[in-house]
Amino acid sequence: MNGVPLDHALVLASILFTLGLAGLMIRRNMVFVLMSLEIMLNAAGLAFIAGGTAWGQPEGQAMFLLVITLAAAEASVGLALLIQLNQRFKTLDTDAVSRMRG
Amino acid sequence: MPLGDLAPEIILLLGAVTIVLFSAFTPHAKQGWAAGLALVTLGLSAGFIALQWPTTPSTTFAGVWALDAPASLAKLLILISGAVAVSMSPDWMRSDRRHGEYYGLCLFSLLGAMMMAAASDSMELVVGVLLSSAASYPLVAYHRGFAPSQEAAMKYFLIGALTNAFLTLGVVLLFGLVGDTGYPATRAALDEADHLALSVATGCVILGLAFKLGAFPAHAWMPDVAQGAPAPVAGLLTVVPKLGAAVALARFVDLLPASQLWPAVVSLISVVTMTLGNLAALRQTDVRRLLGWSSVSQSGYALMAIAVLGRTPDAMMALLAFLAAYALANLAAFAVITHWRGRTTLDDYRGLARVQPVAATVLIVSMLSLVGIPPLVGFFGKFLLFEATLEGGFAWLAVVAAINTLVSLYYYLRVAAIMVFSSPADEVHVLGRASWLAMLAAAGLLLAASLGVEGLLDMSLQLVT
Repeated sequence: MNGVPLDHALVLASILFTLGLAGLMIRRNMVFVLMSLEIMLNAAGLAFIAGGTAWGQPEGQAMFLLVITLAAAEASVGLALLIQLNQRFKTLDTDAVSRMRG
Repeated sequence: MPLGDLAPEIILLLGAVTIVLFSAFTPHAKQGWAAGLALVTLGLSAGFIALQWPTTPSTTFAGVWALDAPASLAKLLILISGAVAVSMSPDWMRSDRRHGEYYGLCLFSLLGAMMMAAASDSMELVVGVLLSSAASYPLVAYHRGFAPSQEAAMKYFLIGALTNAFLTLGVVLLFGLVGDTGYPATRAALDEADHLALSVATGCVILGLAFKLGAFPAHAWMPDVAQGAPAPVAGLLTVVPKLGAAVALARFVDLLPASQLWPAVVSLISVVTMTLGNLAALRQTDVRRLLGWSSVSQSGYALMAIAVLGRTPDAMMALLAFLAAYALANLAAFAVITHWRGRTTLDDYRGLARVQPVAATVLIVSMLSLVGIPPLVGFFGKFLLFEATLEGGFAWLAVVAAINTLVSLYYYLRVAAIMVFSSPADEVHVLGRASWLAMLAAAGLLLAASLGVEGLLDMSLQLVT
């Protein structure tokens, strides 16, 4: 890899993943949860590209495209759910919606 | 790479796309026909699996898909479970404004589970898991006006999104360690891999599959989905992802370098899952939630076979036999609940055995099969599982599972007792003729498997070994 060392890409990916994970765990607003999810999957995609380049394999790039597509599919379903939740419960707070327990 | 190797999957995909197109241009009154299309697709797909039953294990499409007996058996089970769930649905979905796409989503979800069962490449596994997940969230949320359905879908989505991200991370780490995603290359390279990175990667992949399996620590969606989702979907999602994920996890654990660590971790997850599921089910006053927790504990039993994989040759067969018995019994139970319009609270089940003797009998028989009472197929599944666990040298695990089975007898029998000994409260509303027939079909499958279990076991033994 010319210019950017592998370590830098991996460190960036792990920072992004941790940020996304923290967001997913801490935020209760469904919109932020979806954004955090997207960041986590993009971190995985970045790591795929870094790994693929390090090994000289085209699979890294192919898998990045797959991960992006899968993340888009998951996010679109999540957004549809979010709209339903907002119409039904008039809130986007995931805790306020939770009624089934035990 | 012969295209015909993937014929079952391709047919399922084409069927799903056809259904989506069909329901986009069809008026409401005729949308129910999509169920027929789905059943035809499932039948064709199952036919192709039977036609190309593999005699020797091999892979296809550059080593991405496994063609072996466990994959074919799991795919066949997934298709049968899908067919039962689809035939439960038309009566249930009739009042929904748009229900054609529902069957398309069912087929996509089944396709994802089939991909998981046949994946011989970690990226293929990710695609299968995500396809199965992304198709399942909208199925749970299908009743837009019903709050519990929306809530269950939200929780399912949150847990799923988190664990799927971890699964992807695990696969990235594996790819970084090995430089390849295929299982054979991974197996060869893992012996020299960095121990810490491998542990993290394996932990992430196991977490991702535990979500699909409904096992600790990602089990929390199972009771919510069982309670809140449309009843046929609850039947589908407590069974089908589990079938795919169990085989996928078995394949993945088989790759890891021989050490004491991973079997111990899997057996620990197994113990926690079954105990937690049973303890939570004990205090449920909601029958569907109870069945959800019982599904969690059944995942714990299935993990026993994965813990002893590689230590005894019978483990894979025991796993599949147990899963088959579980799938038939659980689907029969949910078919009865669907027929009874998805009634949930235990109080609503008072005296149903007197008003609805046939359906109540089916429910009681399927619950007894879930416990593992002798003449039923559930007994044989559990028996093989315990035998394999003992052979594999995990005697303590078998003892814990036996105690758990005894505990589980209490909550299943409590439901049966309320149905038989209490007096009926009010009139019972049932769905219709189609749901009645679907329930009888599910019960017929359960009974046929129980009666023909000896022959089936001999046959599958020959197929697997």
